[in-house]
Amino acid sequence: MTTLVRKRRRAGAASTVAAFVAVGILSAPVLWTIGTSLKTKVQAWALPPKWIFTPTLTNYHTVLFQQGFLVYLKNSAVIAAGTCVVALTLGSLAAYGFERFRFRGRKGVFFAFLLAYMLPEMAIALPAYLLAVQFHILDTYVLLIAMHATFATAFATWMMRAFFKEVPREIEESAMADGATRLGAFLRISLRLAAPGLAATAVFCLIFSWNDFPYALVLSSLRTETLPVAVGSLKSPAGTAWGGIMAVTVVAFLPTVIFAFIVQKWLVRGLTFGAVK
Amino acid sequence: MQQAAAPDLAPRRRSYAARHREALTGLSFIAPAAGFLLAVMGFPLLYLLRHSMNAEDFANPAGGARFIGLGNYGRVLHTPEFWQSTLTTGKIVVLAVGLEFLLGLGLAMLLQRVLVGRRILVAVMLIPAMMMPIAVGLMWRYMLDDNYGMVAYYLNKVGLTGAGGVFPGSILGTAHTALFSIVLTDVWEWTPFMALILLAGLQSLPLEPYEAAAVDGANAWQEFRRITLPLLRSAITVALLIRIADAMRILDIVFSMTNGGPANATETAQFYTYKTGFEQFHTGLAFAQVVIVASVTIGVCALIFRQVDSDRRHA
Repeated sequence: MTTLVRKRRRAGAASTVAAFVAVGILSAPVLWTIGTSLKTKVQAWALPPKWIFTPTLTNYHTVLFQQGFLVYLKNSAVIAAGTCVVALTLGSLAAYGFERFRFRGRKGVFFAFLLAYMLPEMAIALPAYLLAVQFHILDTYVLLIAMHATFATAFATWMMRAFFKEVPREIEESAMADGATRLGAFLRISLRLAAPGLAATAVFCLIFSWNDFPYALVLSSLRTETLPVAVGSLKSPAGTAWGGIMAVTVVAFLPTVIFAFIVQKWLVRGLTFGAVK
Repeated sequence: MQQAAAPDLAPRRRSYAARHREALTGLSFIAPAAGFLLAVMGFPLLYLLRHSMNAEDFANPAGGARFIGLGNYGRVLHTPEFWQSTLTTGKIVVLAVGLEFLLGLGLAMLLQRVLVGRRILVAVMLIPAMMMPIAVGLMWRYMLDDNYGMVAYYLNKVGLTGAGGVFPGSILGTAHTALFSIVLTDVWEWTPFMALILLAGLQSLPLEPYEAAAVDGANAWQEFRRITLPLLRSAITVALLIRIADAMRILDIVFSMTNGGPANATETAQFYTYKTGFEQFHTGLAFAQVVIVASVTIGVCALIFRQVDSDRRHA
């Protein structure tokens, strides 16, 4: 035992340094992007690359107030919030159903929920586009929220199921013995005890909707264009205002990064459908 | 599940009516979500299947919406561009997920041995996986820009790219370096995530086998090969399968980094579907193509499901 500990400790110092170096290299692109967003055009083009410079917020001012990125931000926020509400409501109910009850066909339905999360987006988005044209709902918030809510609901179901699993049945049963209905026990006890999980799931739903590109690319246009679609249309030729583009990139990822810190504890679990804790 | 298997519970087995009631209550909880998914995904999917059998072509309306059975499927399978996009996707999946696994495992093992600051490291590592993929693509496009890119500049300095380098052509303008750039971008975004899954797996491993190995005088490699890898198997499988299913539908990064180019060297399966259906309006063909791709996804999902489900049982 002591030899093991000693061996570990010796390896530890070297590993710590190596890990910091590795993660440092990994985060360099993000730092570089933030840096570029604070540069003037000339600084952004400078070679060799400038790592030290006087920062300016001009790029942010330009993209947000002159190039109309505030509108895309708003569209993305509205759609993400709507998606989150729908997915959490439907997903936590379904998760409870899958976790607490046994019935025939349960596994098959649960598998279908996984597919709803994993299918290539174009399999849904392309036919949905043609249907939306026929029903005159193309380019509406409702359409995009409904589309994002499909994979978000499926995800929320998988994730919440893992959290409901940890709520002891006995508490619910005693509440029901005291006269609570099944739905009442679910709302007042299970959901409340799984609240941290619910919060984490909510953050994931927001991020997934916020980041979605394929659905928004096909189904949104002038009125509902989201941030990823606007970002995607920035592919311009050489000699572009990279400072502005990097400012947009930072605006696009900053909210998700902040959210990621909040759900840190549940991130691995969330992205593996509760399989790895 | 365990209830059905345990014989000592048999006397308490519930009546048919009770089980019927349980099924109904369970289904009523699931019904809203299932109904919603059926409505929002079911209609498009039925439309997809039905119209994948039509000679539908908005670029050539004269063809009309004639039913041609599996004709589109046959045509897709005889289109070289479809096979090229499949091959490109395959290359990206194998290279990217392979590298992510190897680097991720290394990083996870490093992190496990870290003495101080693990929480900070983990927090920083979460960032790439949460970033908007289309923005990540744009970011790397800028860094790999032949004229202004920071990464391109240093690659040039060490003689890898640029005039006189090992790869003298434009990084994103030459077929194989463009493809590898996409792979690297995906690797950058997902390696930390892979490492975090594997780290979670490593931290839940029991200590006893390692103590026994130390007593037996096993070296580090034997320890890794005989203890760590086998015990880590289920975490590895889940991580790999999820990344494979995800990488198979790669679109965003391609869209913002190369737009499928140069020519169509970096066109992936979903990119090709999008182009065929939404830019060239050969809807029938695009539908048949995406059905073929989706059926592969379903296969991978079945494997994920089996793995996750068996994990639950052993837990």
